[in-house]
Amino acid sequence: MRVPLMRLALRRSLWPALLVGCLAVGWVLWNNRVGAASELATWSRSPGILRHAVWMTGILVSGPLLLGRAVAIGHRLAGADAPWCASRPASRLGVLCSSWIGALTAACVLMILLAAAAELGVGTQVSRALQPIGPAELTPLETSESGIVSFELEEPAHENAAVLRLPVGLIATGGPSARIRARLMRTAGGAFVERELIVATTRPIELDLPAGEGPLRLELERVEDGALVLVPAKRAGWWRVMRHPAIASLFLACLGFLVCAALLAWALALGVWMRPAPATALLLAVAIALWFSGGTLGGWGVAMEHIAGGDIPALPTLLGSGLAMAMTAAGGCLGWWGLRWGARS
Amino acid sequence: MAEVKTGALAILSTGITKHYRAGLLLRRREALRGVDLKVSKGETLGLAGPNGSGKSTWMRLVAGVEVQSAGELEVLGGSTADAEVRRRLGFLPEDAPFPRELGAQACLDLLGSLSGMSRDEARERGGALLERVGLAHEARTSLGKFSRGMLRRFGLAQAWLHSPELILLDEPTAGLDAEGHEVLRELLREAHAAGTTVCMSSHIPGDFGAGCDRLAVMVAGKIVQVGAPDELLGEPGSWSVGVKGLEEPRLAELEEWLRAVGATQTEIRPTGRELSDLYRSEN
Repeated sequence: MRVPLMRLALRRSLWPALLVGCLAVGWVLWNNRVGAASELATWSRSPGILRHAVWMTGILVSGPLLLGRAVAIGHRLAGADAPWCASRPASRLGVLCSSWIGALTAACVLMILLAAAAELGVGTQVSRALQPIGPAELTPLETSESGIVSFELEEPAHENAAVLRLPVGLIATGGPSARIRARLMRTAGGAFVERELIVATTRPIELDLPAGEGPLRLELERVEDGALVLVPAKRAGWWRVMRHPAIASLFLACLGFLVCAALLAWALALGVWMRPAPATALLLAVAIALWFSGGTLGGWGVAMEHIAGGDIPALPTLLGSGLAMAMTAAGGCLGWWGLRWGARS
Repeated sequence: MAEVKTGALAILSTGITKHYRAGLLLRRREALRGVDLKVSKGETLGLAGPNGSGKSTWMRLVAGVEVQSAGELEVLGGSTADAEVRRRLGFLPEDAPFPRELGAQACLDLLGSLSGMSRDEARERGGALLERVGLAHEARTSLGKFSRGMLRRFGLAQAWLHSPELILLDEPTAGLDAEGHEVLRELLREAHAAGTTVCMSSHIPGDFGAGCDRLAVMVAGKIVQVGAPDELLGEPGSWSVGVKGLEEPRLAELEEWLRAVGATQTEIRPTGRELSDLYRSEN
């Protein structure tokens, strides 16, 4: 690894993204402070929304700039910088890795600043933050009472599970909302938790896990006529309560690190092989597709939804982390191959 | 034609070709069409040729920046794919594309690091070379603020940075002022005395002066002539004579004598002072 080359890549990657990102995030924070005085805006200023606003602004503004600069670095390594770089004894792989580390350091600096700005923007507002830890298997039960739907659930496998979260859908046939009574109880009797709530949006129903052990039973009862409520049982999950909501930004930064590692490796590699503009466009198209897609590597949009809901995104799975590292290595190999055999000559 | 000196070869280029694909239809463009050239260790070779003749392409191949399409290229007894070979060569590229955002000293630190030098070593040697090429007072100035001539001087410093055995200079005099030319001449003299092999390209015959042992002429991607500079650039019966101590009124006598012996005078102009002398007198 060549430290001066890392510093050069850091410098080349960081400045435009940092400058524009700081201006954009500063504007969001300022706008939020100004908006705080308005009573009309108070309902929308939840910690999750504020955190989401800062992160989204940073990602949308600085992300493409960072990727564009990384592509340009790769392009220069194979073109304009080759005479002073390739004629030296340093290995092509070492040169590429040093540049990648420099660009990744720039991404880390940006993410740390974004996390700090997001948490500073949220300030001291207190909220309960949840993190998903696993799915909840809901088995429908036959009930004799009309207007009541029942499900059976196994005891959650994760010992820190504290909340059952049940996403709902709404069809406004008999009115704009529905009044529901939700009850989560131990099958063997004893402790139970009951909530009566108005379902007017697709915001999920949350029920705390009652004390005790053993299988559980979930009952949903319609209290009065209203909209039709749909329960997609397969999307229910167990969540745990996190003591510090500010950790959301840390988890997001961890996820961002893996994503940036892979994207920046591919940015350098594509820069070696292609012109900067089409390479950046291709990379952004792939990043956007992965953002909206599900699966092990994609679905980053879901993590941002968690942030907006005031929750904490799940830590990357072992398979997801492994795949991200494999993608990083694949990008590195492609770039090295291009530098080694003169991709553009 | 001058023969290659005996002893080990620094560069053995046999039938080297290089082509590029360019344009929408990826049309093939030949840059080198079979370059055969041998350069001995310790020799100073001038490579002359018009623009687009392939001098820079050949130098980039020898420096390991690119790979030839066909032919055999042996540099310092090995291949430039070998890092150990690249460690022993220095290269001044044609358009000095060094990182413009770095200061001169910081850039030498970077290049020293890529050449396997320690930071202290690169700093010490880099400082001395910047002093040598007259850029010591600009060590912290970013290269983006350098003029073309200053970049060329910086290029000379980085080519000598890791004391290479083979130095490739692609158009080293382009943009150099009179003082820069003098620095280059001194560096070349020292390199020659130290047994360093130097390859220097240019398309201006005067650049080769008395510093080159041999001159190779490249035209349209091929070596067309190799020989001693005087042999190639001189014409029997044509001389350039420098005279000192002759007052202007007596010039007419000289011209008359030349006519009397049947010679044609082509140029007489005052000389004796270098441009660098004028720069010094201004300061």
